[in-house]
Amino acid sequence: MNKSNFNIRRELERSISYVIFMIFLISPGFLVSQEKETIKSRMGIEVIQLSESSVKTNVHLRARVNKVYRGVSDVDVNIIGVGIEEDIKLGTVKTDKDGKANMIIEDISRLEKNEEGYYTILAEFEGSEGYKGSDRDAEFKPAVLTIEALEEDSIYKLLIKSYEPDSMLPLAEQIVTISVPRLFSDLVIAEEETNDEGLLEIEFPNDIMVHEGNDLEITASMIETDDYGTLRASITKPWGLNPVKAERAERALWTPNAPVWMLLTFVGLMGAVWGHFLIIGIKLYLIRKDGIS
Amino acid sequence: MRIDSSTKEKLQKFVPILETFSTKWKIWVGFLVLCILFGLYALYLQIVEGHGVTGMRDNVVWGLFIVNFIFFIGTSYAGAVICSILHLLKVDWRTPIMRIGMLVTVSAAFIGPIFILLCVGRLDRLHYLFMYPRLQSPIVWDVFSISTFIIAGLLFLYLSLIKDFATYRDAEFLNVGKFRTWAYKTLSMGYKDKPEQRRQLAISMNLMSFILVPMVIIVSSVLSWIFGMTLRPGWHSSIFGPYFVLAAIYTGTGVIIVSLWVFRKLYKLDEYITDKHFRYLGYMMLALASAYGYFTFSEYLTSWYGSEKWEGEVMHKLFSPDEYGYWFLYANTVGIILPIIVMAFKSTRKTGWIAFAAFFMVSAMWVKRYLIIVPTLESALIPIQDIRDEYVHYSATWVEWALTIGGMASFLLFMTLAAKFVTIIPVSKMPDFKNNPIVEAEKNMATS
Repeated sequence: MNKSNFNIRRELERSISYVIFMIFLISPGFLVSQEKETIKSRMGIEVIQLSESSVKTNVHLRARVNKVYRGVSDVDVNIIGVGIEEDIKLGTVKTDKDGKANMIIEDISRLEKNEEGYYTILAEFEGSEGYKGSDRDAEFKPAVLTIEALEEDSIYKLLIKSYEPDSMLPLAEQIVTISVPRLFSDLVIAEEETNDEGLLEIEFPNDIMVHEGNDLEITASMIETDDYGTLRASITKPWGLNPVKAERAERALWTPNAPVWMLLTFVGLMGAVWGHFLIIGIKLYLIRKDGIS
Repeated sequence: MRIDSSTKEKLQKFVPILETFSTKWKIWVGFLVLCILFGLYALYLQIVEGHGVTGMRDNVVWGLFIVNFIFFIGTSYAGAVICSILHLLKVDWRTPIMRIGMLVTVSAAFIGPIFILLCVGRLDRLHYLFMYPRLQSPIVWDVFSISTFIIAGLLFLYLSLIKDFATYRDAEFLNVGKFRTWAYKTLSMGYKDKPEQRRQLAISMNLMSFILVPMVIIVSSVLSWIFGMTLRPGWHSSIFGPYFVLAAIYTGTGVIIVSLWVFRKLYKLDEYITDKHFRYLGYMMLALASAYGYFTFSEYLTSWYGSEKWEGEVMHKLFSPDEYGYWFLYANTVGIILPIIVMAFKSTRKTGWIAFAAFFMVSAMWVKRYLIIVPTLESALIPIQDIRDEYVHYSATWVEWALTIGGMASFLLFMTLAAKFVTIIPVSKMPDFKNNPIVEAEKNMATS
C-alpha cells in the first residue's frame, strides 16, 4: 500500500517536473514568435477635388506601436481606381517619414463610376516585413468648385460657384471656407454657406498683408462634405497689401558706440559716487589706525 | 571705551533680546526657512524645466519677478533717503528710525536684484553685462547704479553701527558668545570714541547722507527709465522718473512704519519708538500720498485725454471690471486715499491706524507695480493671428508665487536675524561733530 502510494506520488512529481520543464522549453520559442509577429497597419485616405478632371489623393499610413500611433515610413502604397468590372491601378506612392503620401490624378474620367455615380479610389498597402497590409477606400461624387474674382469700385469680391458636372445640379447649403496662406497655417477669411443655386458672393478684405509683392493666393474650400469629399479651388490676385517699409528713423542710441556726452555723464556720476566711497574708505582706515595707536 | 549711563541703560534693555533665543523666535525662523526652501525648490524646477514653468510668455515677458524687483528696490531707496534726510537735517527724533530704516534699505536692496536674476534666462552669461556693457541700454545703467547703491547702503548702515559695535564690545554685562564677541570687536574697527575718530565718523556719515539723497533720486529714475525709455503704451512717459522716485519713498515710508510697529510690539519698545514717531512718519506718508495721488492723476489723465489707440487699450484694461478694474480701484483707494483719510482725522491719527493704513498702502503699492507692468505687456503692439490666449494674458504660476514667498521670507529673515545681531535702536549717540557742544569742546581740548 505504502509502496504503491509512493510510486503514484513519484509518478506525479515526475509529470509535474516534465510539464514545468516543457513550459520553460517552449517559452523562449513562444516569445521569439511574438517578436516576429507583424504589426497591424491602418490606412487613411482623403480625396480633394481640384477641378472637374483632377483630384488629389492624400494617404496616411499608421501603425500602433507601444500604444501610440506612428506613421509607417518609406513603404509603397498603391492607388487604385475601383471599377465595377475592373480595377485600374493609378500608381504607387512612397510614404514619407510621417507615413504620408499624395498623388494627383489628372484624368479622373478614365475611372469607372458605380451605379449611383460615385467614384471609388482605394489606397492599398500590401504589407512589409514588420507590418501587416491594410487598405481604405474613399467614395466621392464628382463636383466642381470655382472661384472668380470681381472688383467693383475698389471693393474686392469673390464669386464661388459649385455644381455637379454630370447633372449641373448646384451644391446648395454647403459651407465654403475662404482662406489665404500664412507662415504656419491658413488664415481663414470667411466661412459661409452657398445659396440654393450653389453660389456664394462675399466681399474680400482689402487689408490682408503679404510678405512680398501684392499677389495673394486665395483658396475656396468645401471641407469633408458627405458626398463630394473635399473640394478646393484657388486664384491668385494682386489684392494683398505690401507693408511699405518705412525708412528707419535713425536714433542716436542705435549707433554702435554710446554718445560721448552719455559716456562723460556716466563716468562723471560713477566717479563722484565711487570717489566718496574712496574717501570713506580712507576715513575708516584712519579710524582704525587711531584706534590701534 | 567708556560707556555712559544712558547708553548702558539702553543696552541693558536689549540684553535679553540679544542674548536669548526663545522657542517662538526659533519657530518663526524655522517657518521662514521653510518658505525659503519652498522658493528654492521652485527655483530648482525653473532651472531644470526652463522658464516655461512660469506664466511669462512671448508677449508678457515680465511678471511677478519684476514686480517684486521694483517693489523691493523702491523700498530700499526709501529707507536710505529718509535716513539720510533725517540725519542731514539733524532731526532730534530720528534715532529710533535710523537703524530700522537702514536695515530695511540693505535687506531690500539685496533681495530686489535677486528677482532680476530669477527673471532672466541664461545666468551663465550674466558676466557679459560687465564684460560687454552697452552703455545706451537702461538695463546697463540699472546694473551699475543698483550695485553702487547696494554698496552705499551697506556703508551707511555700517558707519551708523560702528559706535554701537564698540559699545557691544566694551559692555562687560553683555554675554553673546565667542563668535559675536569676535564679530563686534572686528567690526568696531578699534573705535574708542576718541575725538578724532568721532570726527572722522561724523564726516563719513555726513558724506554718505549727502550723497545718498541725489543717488536715490538718480537710481530710482534709472529704474523707471527701463520702462520710460521703451516706446510702449503706459510706460513711455516723461514723468515716470519722478513718479518712481515718489512711489519708492512712499512705499518705503509705509514699510518703515510697519517695521517700527512690529518691533515696538515685539520688543516692547514704547519708550523709544513713541506715538510721536508714528505721527511724524504718518504726516510724511500723508504728504507723499498727496503728491503720489497728484502724479497718478496727471499720468492717467494725460493718457486718457490723448486717446491714442494703444494707450487707450491699456487704459481700458485698467478701468474695465472684467480685467484689472478692481485691482486698479484697490491700488488707488487703498494706496492713496486710505492713508490720507487716516491722517486727516484726529480720531484715526493713532499709532494702530497709521500702521494699519501703512500696511495696506504697501500692499496696494505692490499691486500698483503689477498694474504698471502686466497690462502694458498684455497690449501687444504687433497683432498676431491665431495667437493662443495664454501668450497674450499673463497669469502667475505657483513657481512664481513660491519664489515671491521665498523672497518675502528672506527679507523677514534678514530683519529677524539682524535684530538679534544688533540692537534695533541705536544705543549710542550718533557722532555729530558740528553744532555739538560736547564734540566741539573735546575737539578743542584735543587741539590745545
